[in-house]
Amino acid sequence: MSMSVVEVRHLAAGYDGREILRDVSLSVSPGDVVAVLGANGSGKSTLIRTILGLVPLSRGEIELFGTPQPRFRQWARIGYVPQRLGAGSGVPATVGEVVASGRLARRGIFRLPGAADRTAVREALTDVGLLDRINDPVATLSGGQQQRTLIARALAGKPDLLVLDEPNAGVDAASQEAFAAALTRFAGNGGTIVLVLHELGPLRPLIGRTVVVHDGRIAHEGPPPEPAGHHAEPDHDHVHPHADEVKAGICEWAPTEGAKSY
Amino acid sequence: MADPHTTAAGYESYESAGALLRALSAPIRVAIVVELGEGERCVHDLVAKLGAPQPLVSQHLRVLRGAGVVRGVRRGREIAYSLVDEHVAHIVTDAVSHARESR
Repeated sequence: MSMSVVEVRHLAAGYDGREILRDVSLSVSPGDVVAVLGANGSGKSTLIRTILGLVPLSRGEIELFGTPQPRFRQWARIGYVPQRLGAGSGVPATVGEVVASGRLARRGIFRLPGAADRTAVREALTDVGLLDRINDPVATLSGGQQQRTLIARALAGKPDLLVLDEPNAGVDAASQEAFAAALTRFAGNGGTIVLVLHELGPLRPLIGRTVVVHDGRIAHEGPPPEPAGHHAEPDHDHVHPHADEVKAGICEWAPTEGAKSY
Repeated sequence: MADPHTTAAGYESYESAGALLRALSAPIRVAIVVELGEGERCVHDLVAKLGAPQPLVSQHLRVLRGAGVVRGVRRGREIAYSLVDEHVAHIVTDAVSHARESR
């Protein structure tokens, strides 16, 4: 039996006394690729933010790599790509500089970047198909390319677990394909992935298990359903039949993430 | 003077104190406040010091900023974070030394 990467038991959590997650249990093993699905406000983002310690839990337990989360310290083992908050943030940095910053948590402040760091940066940029943009200012990239840059930054840190919050939101199809390929390679090398998704899209073949969060609980858990008939159409917003209410919020595709803050 | 336990204004200050302590409830945020107690820091300083990836540190800083514990000021290409006031540094320093003493 191998140790879980993420173990969540009877988790309840929320903000300012308002409970968003009521009773969630989830186990993620090494090499798993788990998609967390659900409508706006279902608690799917809150679940991964609680796992990462950004939201306090009110009941239950979380373990990361076998360590109770309050005592967990090896944060560099986790690559995190939060929900996009507007494009670029106006930082006048090059693509290479942004990705290189993903090495800092591992390197520490007293050591200068070495060959291993440079290699990791180039590998990560190759993975997301942006090596040719390494010297370009981030601000000159499209939204989708900027998102790929942020994923490359997380990959450059050589994480064991990659946590992504709606990486597809507002991203062009080419970029979605590019990082689907990057994530497939990461998973192929034994990496573990937990990602919040609004729909499976090009990531579908990669997903080993879907977890549907509804009303603060896990409404369904299992392999992603086979696309068939109208489900296979590219614009079909996949929802599991057990969670019809999930259909409600399709607009997470609209570029409104900036308005969302917690 | 009215009993602060029962007046609305008195109880509100308890609620604010509760919100402050919740913002300080994660060890990594305590570490950030201790670090900022030494002086202003940019995100990359905190990332290197704490060994946590930048997006995670940034999100913890957002929690602390939302609770009014830290503030950020743009310094050229980066944002420098500092504690809003000395009180929080004292609260955290006291909590940390209390925890050490009671070991």
